[in-house]
Amino acid sequence: MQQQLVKVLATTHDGFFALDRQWRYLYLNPVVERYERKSKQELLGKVIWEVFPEAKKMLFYRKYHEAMASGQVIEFEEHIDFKWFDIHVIPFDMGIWVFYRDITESKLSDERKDDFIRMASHELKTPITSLKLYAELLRDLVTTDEGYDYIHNINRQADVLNKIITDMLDLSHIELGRLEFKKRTLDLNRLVTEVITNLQKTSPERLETKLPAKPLTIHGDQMRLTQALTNLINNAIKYSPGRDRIIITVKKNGRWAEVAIQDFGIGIDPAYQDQIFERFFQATGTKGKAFPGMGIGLYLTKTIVDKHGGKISVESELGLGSTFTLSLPIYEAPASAKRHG
Amino acid sequence: MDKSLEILIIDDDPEILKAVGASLKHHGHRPLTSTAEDNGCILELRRGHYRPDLILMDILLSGTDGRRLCQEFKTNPQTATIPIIMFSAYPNIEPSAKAAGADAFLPKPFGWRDLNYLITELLDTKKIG
Repeated sequence: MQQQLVKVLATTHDGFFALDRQWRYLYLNPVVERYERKSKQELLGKVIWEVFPEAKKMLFYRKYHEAMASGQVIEFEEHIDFKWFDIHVIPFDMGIWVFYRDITESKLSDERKDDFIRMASHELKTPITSLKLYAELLRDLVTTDEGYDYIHNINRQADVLNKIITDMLDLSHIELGRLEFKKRTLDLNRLVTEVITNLQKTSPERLETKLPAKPLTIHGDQMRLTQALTNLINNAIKYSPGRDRIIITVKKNGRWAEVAIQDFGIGIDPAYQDQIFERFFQATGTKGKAFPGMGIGLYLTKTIVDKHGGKISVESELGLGSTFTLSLPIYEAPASAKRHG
Repeated sequence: MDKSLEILIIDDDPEILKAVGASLKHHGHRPLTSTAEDNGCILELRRGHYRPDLILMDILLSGTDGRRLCQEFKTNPQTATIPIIMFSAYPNIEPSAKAAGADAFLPKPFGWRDLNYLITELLDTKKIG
């Protein structure tokens, strides 16, 4: 069995080697020989930094240490000598197994895809601007309520199109780790109020708010948190057709600032409640009726919340509605800042 | 609308020039449209022979970067005091647009309400007129 395994490792296209606790090569396959441009005989028994003088400055050295100390499997990506590697470290009694794969091509292809989406989004946003401007011009020219409604719909659909483009771009940025966050201290009460005021301009639904008397300070990116809250409230509106009541409650819960968004809509089947934050997950209504969308919104919302060290959860009952709770750490000003007020 | 403004729109996309121009005209302003390569109009501006109340400019222009043109207008004594609103489909570009001297930034897509809000703000802060 062991001999067979060694044969398999010798023929794989990925690099595979073992280090003992003194960082010496115990085993390596031909791929490692090719990458290091050294033979097995030259490498076996050598300490890793004899082969790789910069080893101690690299991320992999820290990760190998971490895996040896914790006994846990660790996976990470690192850019070494102009190439990207996906690296897995598996501890065993004598040291660690390291398995690595050259992912440069797929990284480059992801970057090209991101560039393409960025360019396409620019090309699409320009005609949306024309559409919006002409729709607004027409609004002043029509004289009937029916005509006014049609123009309102054109405008709303132009906004939907813009949101799809923005979400696609954000999704691509997430995959490349390029989603940017510009954090500063914010009052969550104020942020929620602004989001609701903005949504109320276009949504006739009743958005009831319950806010605490005192400000709730958090440290976050205003634009991204606005995006997350808008997604959740828009979902509440979208999945409660025919109902006009949504309750948004902001409160302090220990060291967390919480926003709960409660709707009285279709609810979520318990079987799907664990999957709704996954990418491309699509909800269907009670009679299998599909709702429009690409299944990106909640995934983006969760990513934004995660990047703020926060949590998001859902409680839901089919036919009765759902409550999404977003929790963000309350910001504690550093001691020196407190002293100076 | 309180005041009719002479507004120069610089963009390479004729559809944007038409749509923004029509919107401004409908709301009582006097728009003039130009591409970045329209040397006649830009030259008149540079020499101080033509002075609009406001310039609306895209960032991505063929042949030149809108930010470079903005910087040039803001350092030329003939054009330095003309307020400039830059617009772009890349919202992350805002800081570099402001660094180039733009008085305001408008992310695409925008409607009349967004554009008018910025114009009114510039009027209120006396940057226009």
